[in-house]
Order: sequence, then structure tokens, then C-alpha cells
Amino acid sequence: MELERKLSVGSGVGLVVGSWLVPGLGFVLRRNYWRGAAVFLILNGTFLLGLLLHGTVLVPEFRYYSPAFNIVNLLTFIGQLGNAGASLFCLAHDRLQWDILRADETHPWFDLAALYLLVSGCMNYFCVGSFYDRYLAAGKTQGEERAGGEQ
Amino acid sequence: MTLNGWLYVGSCFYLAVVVTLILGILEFDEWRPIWRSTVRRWLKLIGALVAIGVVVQLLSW
Repeated sequence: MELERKLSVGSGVGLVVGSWLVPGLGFVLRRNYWRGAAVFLILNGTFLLGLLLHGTVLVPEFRYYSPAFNIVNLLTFIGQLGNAGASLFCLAHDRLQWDILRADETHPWFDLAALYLLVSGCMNYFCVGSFYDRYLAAGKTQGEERAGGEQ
Repeated sequence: MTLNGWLYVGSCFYLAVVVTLILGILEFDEWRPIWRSTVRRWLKLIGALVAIGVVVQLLSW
């Protein structure tokens, strides 16, 4: 019984992390295919548009005493990390100096592109929260969906 | 208006659709109420943004 409970908690954490890495993955794995596909297409499509506008995810200055420290950049980074898989790809692209993306920090569209990435990431935080609330919140058995809001 | 201006206006409309559509998808299980709530929220959001824009424009004259 204890082992079963641990496995269920572990798989729940895995599903939440999976939903964070790939938008909609948790819904698909719980056989809610249309919702998972819609979330995946909308959020990754928005992220892709941000990349096409010469945007990318940049690591901000974390040292608060540095002249380059900017709280807006820091919050933007945290928001963009909501779409974790795509953001980690951008960070790896920057670190490993791949030549796939057309990111250009001096481009006039760069700030607008950052907004696209930000909306994609922040809305995935909503999706992960909704997934947790629907399937994993306290008091719900496995496979039981939230009754409220279902019509 | 320049290309950049149109791009920003279009982005405002598009990103508002993304936000409201995702909220509808998470809230409802059928497409009809999803689209209805999306349109209602989109109009409210754009209306609020236009109102803020008008106030800023008036204060900047």
C-alpha cells in the first residue's frame, strides 16, 4: 500500500514535470488528447513565432549589486522558463553555439519576440496548474477528474 | 503606420487570443463554450487595453 502510494506520488510528479517541459504532455498521457494537442500547438506555435521574430531566451544578471541587474529581465526569464523544454533548447543553443536560431539582441523586434516567449511560458504555468488541479490535487483518486467546470 | 507599428498591433490581438483561448480550453470541455468564452474575454481585454491607450494618449497631449 505504501509502495503504491509512493509510485502514484512519483508518477504525479513526473507528469507535472513532463507538462512543464512539454506543454500539454500531461493531458495527453492522461488520455485527454484534444486538450493536450491544443495546448501544445498554441503554446509552442507562439514560442516558434517568437523565435522567428529573432528572439531567444537569455540568462539575466542574477547578482543584484551588478550594474547590469534588471528585475524586469529576471522576471521575464522566469516567465519564459514556463515553457521549459523550448527555453532549455534556446539556452543550450546559446551555450553550445549552435547555428539554428536567428536570435539577435540588437534587432528591433527582439523585445516583441521576448513577449511572445513570455506569454508562451506564463500560459504553460497556468496549464501545469490546471493539470495538477484536475488530476492530482489532494483528495482525488487516480483517474478522477475535477467535477467543477466540466460541462 | 510603419511595419513595426502594424506588427505590434497585430501581436497585441494575437497574444490576447492566445491568453483567452488557453483559459477557455482549460475551463471547458466543448468547443462551443470555449469559443464563446474566448470571444467574450478577448473583447474585454482589448477594450481595457484600448481604454488605457486612450487615457495615455489624452494625458500625453
